[in-house]
Amino acid sequence: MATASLVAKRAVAADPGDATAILKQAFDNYRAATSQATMVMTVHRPEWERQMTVSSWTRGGEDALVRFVAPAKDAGNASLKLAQDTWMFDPKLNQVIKLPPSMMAQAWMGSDFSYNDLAKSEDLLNYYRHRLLSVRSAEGRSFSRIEAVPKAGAPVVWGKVEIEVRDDHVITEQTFFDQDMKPARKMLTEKVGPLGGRPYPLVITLYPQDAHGRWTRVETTAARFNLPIPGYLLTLSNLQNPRGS
Amino acid sequence: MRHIPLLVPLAWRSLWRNPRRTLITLMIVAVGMWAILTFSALLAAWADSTRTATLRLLTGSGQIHASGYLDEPSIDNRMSPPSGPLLASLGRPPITAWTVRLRAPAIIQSEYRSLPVVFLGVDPRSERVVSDIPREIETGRYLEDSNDPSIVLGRHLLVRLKTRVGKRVVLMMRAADGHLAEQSFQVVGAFSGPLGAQDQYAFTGLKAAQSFAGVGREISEISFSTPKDTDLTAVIRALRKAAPNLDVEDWRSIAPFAYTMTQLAAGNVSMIFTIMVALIAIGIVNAQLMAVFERTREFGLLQALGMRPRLIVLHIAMESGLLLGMGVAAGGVLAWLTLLSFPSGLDLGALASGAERLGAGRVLHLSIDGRAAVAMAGLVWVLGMAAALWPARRATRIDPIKAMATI
Amino acid sequence: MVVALAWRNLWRRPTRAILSVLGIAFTSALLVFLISLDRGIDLAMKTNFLGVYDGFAQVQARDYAIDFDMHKTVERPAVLADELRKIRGVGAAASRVVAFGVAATPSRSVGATFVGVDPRQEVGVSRLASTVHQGRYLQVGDTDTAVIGDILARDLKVTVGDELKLLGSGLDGSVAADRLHIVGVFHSGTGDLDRQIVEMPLARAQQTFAFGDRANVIALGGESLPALEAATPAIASKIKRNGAELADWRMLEPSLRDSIVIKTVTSGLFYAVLVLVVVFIILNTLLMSVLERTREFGMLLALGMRPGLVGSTSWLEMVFLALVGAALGVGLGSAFALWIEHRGIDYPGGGGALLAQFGLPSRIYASLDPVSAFTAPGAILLGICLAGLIPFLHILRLKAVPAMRSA
Repeated sequence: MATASLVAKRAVAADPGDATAILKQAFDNYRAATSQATMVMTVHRPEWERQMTVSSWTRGGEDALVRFVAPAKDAGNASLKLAQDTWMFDPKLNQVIKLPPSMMAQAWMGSDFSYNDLAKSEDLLNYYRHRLLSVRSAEGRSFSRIEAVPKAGAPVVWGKVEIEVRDDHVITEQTFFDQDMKPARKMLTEKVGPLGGRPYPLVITLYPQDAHGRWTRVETTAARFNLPIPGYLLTLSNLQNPRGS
Repeated sequence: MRHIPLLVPLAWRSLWRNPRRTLITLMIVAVGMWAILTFSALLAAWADSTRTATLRLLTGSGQIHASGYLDEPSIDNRMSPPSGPLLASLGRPPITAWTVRLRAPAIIQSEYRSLPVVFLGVDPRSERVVSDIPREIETGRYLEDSNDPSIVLGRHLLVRLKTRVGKRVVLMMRAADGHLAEQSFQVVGAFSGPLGAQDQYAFTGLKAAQSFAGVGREISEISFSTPKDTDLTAVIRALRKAAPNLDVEDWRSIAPFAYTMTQLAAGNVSMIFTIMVALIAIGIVNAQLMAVFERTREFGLLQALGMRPRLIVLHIAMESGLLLGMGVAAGGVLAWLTLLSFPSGLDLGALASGAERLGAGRVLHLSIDGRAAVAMAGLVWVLGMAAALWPARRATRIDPIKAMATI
Repeated sequence: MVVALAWRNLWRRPTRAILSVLGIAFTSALLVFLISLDRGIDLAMKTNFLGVYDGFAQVQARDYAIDFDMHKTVERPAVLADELRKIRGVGAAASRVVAFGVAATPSRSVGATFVGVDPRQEVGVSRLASTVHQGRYLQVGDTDTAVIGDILARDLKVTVGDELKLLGSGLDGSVAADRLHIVGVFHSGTGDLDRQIVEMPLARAQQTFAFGDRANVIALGGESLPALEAATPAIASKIKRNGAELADWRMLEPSLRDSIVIKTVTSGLFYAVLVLVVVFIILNTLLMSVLERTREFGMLLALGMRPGLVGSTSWLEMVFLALVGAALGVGLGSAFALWIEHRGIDYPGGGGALLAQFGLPSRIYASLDPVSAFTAPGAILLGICLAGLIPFLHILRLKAVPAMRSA
């Protein structure tokens, strides 16, 4: 159970191969080559709180389809990301709308994630150099702390990102630093458990560092990994007229 | 006319017989003249500043675009760099300089905020000649050449983005083929200048911009400069002939509000001149009337002694002439000193944003063309003299006998 | 007694007194007119800029103007607007919802600002309705109509009769989606409005963006800006209970405030010079009349009248002159100003036609108020009272015998 408050930190010689491999495994664990999941997102503000349920399909790191299931008001809304472009579908409008650049910076469903954030989830692997900072032990497990620094010319705004990965490949923490190396936002894994045959960060909460009383929580309630995803699923026509489930 | 050498010292001495009145009248003329010159300079500086600020920002004396661009200033409306007849026309006087730009809307992102901007790819060398922005770099540096992949932003934009020179920003825009392009840029310089420009424009090297937007060698606009008083209509006509498929406009169509402000400033100068000249005339007439009245006995005596009326008129006219001359000269000197006390122009400081709203720059460069000043002074003198002829003529209507009988 | 003496003395030389009075009256009247004209221009500038869209003032949630965050709302705006309309000076109180989102057609989607408005109140605040050049503005009873800016219409390639889709985020984070029918296209002349704004019925916007009965701002209009400004204290106290703030025109258009300050300072400088010159002219006359009466003053002194008394009598004469002249000037100037307030005057240099292009009035109208009516005549009066001290001091230095001996 709870270990002693003393946690042993072991500095490790910088070995990029090590760090990148750890991250790759962590991402693999999180979304695999393909995935289908059900998530509940809670947006919390000082004055209100809202919950939404979504169903998502992902393929690789580039393509994803997210469809809203609940509440009833938003059910049927969906967004599709293929490579760099994002489209939205609204059943009331019955139209697929490509998101213009000005919308990409807007909050997704009023949360602390922007459309852009969702589009850039693979950035950590592609655009950063990785370095193992340290390894600590706690609760009988070891946690690797990896520092990701943007490669020269990479289209990312962060100064650096620190990711903590557990020895069973679960990402436990991501801290995004601005270019002055001050933490700008933190994503904390608050509950880990088995899902789809693997240990999984079931509850992740995003805390912006410059605002109080605001956070967004994503709770994954069901998931399947590495399932065959039919070609028609992640297309614009399917976005508009869903066939699979 | 041979009496002039006699009359001049006489007139001079007469003036100083009543030093207080002479001094006050002198002040009237001097202050009036100072006001005419100084306010003309102020209004001229204002009009000039408005023109210059508009032209030297990005507009230039005129611009050329692909047809349809002005309605929809996006990446879709592009044109090839100038060649053939257009290139030749651009190289001919009165056009003194020209530059090309790629221009499209984009979103700029920092760690904390995302904001819309107008993204501009420029050729720094020719840009420097046409636009003032390269000279307004406050921190860091401007772009080095067309290949420079760095970005230069307005100081206020950097504040709003919560970032600085030396940090990295990411630009997002719709590329030529429709996909969402993203690229990071290093912020190397911050420029000051009109707040609107600071908030809106993001500059990078032309070639860097072209590869980001995927447009090959194509551009969005050509901006050209001509000297200040050029007849732009002829220039535009020549350019339109050389490039019939493109949209050629001069700054008056591109920035009509600034043009209107320039015209309004010019109208006010005539009003100021008229009012001041009227007051000067009243002042001198008033003073000379009093002088004539005072010296009724003297003029009566002179007439009785045989001095012809014409000479009396001349005598008084000379007094007026000397008075006006000294006043006008004093006013001119005062105006010159006033202008001297603003060697680097009148900085509008805190009211700069108001100046920008009216289209002007934040510094007014006060100057007066020497010849124009002398001409104005001369005109004031002549008009003053014309008015002063009336009291002079009144002096001749004095009946010598009655005059000498006055106490 | 001194007063009576002074008054009688004045009329011993009626011609001169009348001329002086007329001089003062004329200049005062001229200045009253010019200042009224200036204030008329200022008022026109403010009214025109604010009247396009902003309104004379706005009721907003605290700190709304910092980032225009849609979540900063005014509670129960309908009730509040009703109460505000009862205040004298408030002609219209228009609630608005302001939300950013995507405007889409089957082929294109662009970012836009959706503004939910109440057309009946909105026309009392904003001129936008009158700039609709295709179709019509929103009407009471509309449910899903929209009017958009002409540049936006061109961007989306839509026109009257087409359908416009709206996609955005609601106040509670839910998806905001709607279909609107375009009934009108406007051209305000302001790029920001024409490129960005989609106006829709308020109730529909509240529903689509999950606002409930809330709004973001209440824009206020009225018969005139001064009338609304007079009502500011009443408005401020009413909205304090809602926790809202009043953004007055200075906050809505800060650069407009600055440009008016610049104009006022420049004109004020000119008028001050005018007053100075006029006072000098009058001083000349007054000084001379004092000097003329040296013998008389000498006699009074010899008779035992105290120099102070003699001096003040003389000074009072000047004050009377100035008072009569100033009063006359106020009357004449006000009459003329009122006439021009009614009739208007053309811009010098033909600038009127240019301004008409922006929907601005092509003539200048004067604006008479206590400031414009009394400032200049008051300044002239004060100037003369002060300048009159010079002859006063001169009298104090007189010695009875030498004075009586002067010719």
